[in-house]
Amino acid sequence: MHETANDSVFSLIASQEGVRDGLLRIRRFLDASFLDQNACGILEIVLAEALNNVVEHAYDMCETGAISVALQLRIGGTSIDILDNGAAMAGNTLPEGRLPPLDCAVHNLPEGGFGWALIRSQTDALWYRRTKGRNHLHMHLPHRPA
Amino acid sequence: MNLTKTQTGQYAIITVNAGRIDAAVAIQFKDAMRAQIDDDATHFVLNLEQVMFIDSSGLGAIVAAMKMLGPGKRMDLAVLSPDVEKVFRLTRMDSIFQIHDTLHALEPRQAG
Repeated sequence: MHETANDSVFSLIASQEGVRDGLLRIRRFLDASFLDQNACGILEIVLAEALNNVVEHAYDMCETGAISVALQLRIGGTSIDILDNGAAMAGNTLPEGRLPPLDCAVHNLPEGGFGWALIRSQTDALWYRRTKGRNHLHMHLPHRPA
Repeated sequence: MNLTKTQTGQYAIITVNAGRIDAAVAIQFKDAMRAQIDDDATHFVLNLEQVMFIDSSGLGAIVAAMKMLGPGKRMDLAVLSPDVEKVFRLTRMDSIFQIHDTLHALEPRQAG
């Protein structure tokens, strides 16, 4: 009988290496849960984009902060709450996040701008709040069949 | 970022000897690719069989490497893990690259 609810909180160092280390720890937790590999992969991809954004923008690539990642795994989907003490999101709001167009010459192909589009495409709830000097990003990912 | 290059028939196969291409190594990957594609080969294949995960920075670095190729040259991808394939599919970048499921398919066929 598999457990069908798993919760865990991870603390990450706010650097690119810290995010990599954190994602590896989170993936081990996900792989050991009741989720299938497709859901684990989607979660790692979405977490990578959200966490890289915190490192690059909230902490401006300075390795002085910490990031907290809380996961609540349920049958219907996974809730993710990411907290950090970095700078507020520009305009106190989430980027729109449309996929960049690909119908262009090779030398004009986009090399970035995928992150928020990836996050938005996989979440059915997404909000950002700035409270007491902290950033709080909430995401919910429904578990879709592969 | 450790890359190795081998020739298989008409293809110059560049193998990524790393488990991840992510934000932490995207710049090193681009620099290493620049060194590998600086030769006379015209058809490169990026072998990703050891790469279990990429993020959008890694994806951008692969696109950047493809854009470094001179005119008349091309770069395909080979052996995507399920999570790497997801990133290409979800960003529609799978429509930009030819993707080979195996390296075996690239080997020259026996004559006769």
